[in-house]
Amino acid sequence: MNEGFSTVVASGQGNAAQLLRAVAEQLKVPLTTIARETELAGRAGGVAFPDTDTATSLATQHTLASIAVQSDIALRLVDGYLLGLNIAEGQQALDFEPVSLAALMTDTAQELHALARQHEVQLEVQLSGKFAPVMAHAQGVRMALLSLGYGLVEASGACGNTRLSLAVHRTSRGVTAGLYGAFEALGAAEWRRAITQIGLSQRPMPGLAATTGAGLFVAETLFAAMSTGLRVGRFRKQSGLAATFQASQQLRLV
Amino acid sequence: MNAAPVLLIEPDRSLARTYRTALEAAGYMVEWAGTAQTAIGRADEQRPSLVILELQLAQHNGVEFLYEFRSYGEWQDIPVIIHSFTPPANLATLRQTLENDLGIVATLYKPRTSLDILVAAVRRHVPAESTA
Repeated sequence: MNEGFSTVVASGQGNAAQLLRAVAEQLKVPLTTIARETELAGRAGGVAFPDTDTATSLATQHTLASIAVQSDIALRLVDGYLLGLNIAEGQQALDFEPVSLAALMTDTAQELHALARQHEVQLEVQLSGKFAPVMAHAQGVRMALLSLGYGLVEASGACGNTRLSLAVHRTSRGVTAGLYGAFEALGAAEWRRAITQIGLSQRPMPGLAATTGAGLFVAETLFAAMSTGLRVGRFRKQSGLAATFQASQQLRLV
Repeated sequence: MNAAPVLLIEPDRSLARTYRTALEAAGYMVEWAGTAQTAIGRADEQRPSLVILELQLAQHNGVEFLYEFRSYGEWQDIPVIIHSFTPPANLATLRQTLENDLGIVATLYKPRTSLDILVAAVRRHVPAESTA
């Protein structure tokens, strides 16, 4: 088991871990059903609701789109949680490979687009320079950044932040990938306290997220399983959560 | 020209109904089976042009089903698409067997596969109308 293994996963040891895994696996079925049923209803459009006027039809389409986005996010968070669990328990090899954080961050922004639009949050990818690839578990980092994005976009909607920067930048520790915004309630002490509250509180970060903040903790679980801590960071007068990686020595061409 | 028959092996009834609706809208004739045993019976009644298979089945797993399915001469060349809740990473060790020995033409991870993607995958291997 990896050192620094997250509280989220560690709290689920033994039977509890098996139960959580089973629940997560089981959740995929109803969530997929919702996602596909929504897709089918969206395809039908006016045919499914022939007697509704245009405004009602538009509202229905809007609702369907919202359900589709939410069910997709929930499925990805479940997958992220299970991936973190598999890595932490050694059921999935932690194969490191050269990963371009800039490319991953751009992909993450695209994946977050629909959710950000729903929450009226503007996404900005900020790449401060050129970066050599870092050695990381590509799938894990991709899923962790996406989960972090889900958490912070939803937090943005809840606390009035309208702009989220998806940044890759250099710090004294290495190459850092983080998501930043005007989150006044996000400090190192609050984050530490939130980590200890997972599973004990329905709102571990009351100043930031109106919900459980599942995306943040799935990201934390994944980064911890990969022995890469997720920490509070700052970027251009914004605060957020970030992880730092070491550049690949073999591929340092930039 | 007839609608090409597709055998959908899907244990979840709600999901099966959704996939069936989407495939029928795309012009296919769908036979549904919730278990491996039923699937063999359905295939016996009408030879499918393509099989869509969930690996996580009650009583038998999908790989066991595939070995039996391929053991019958008349079904050896029917394309099979795996459409499953089993994550692709979990199938890594089986991939060579699935592709080379069991004739899998595509592997789709169900939570990430939209109806459009599923229909497109079926279309790649079987046109909606067949001369059979």
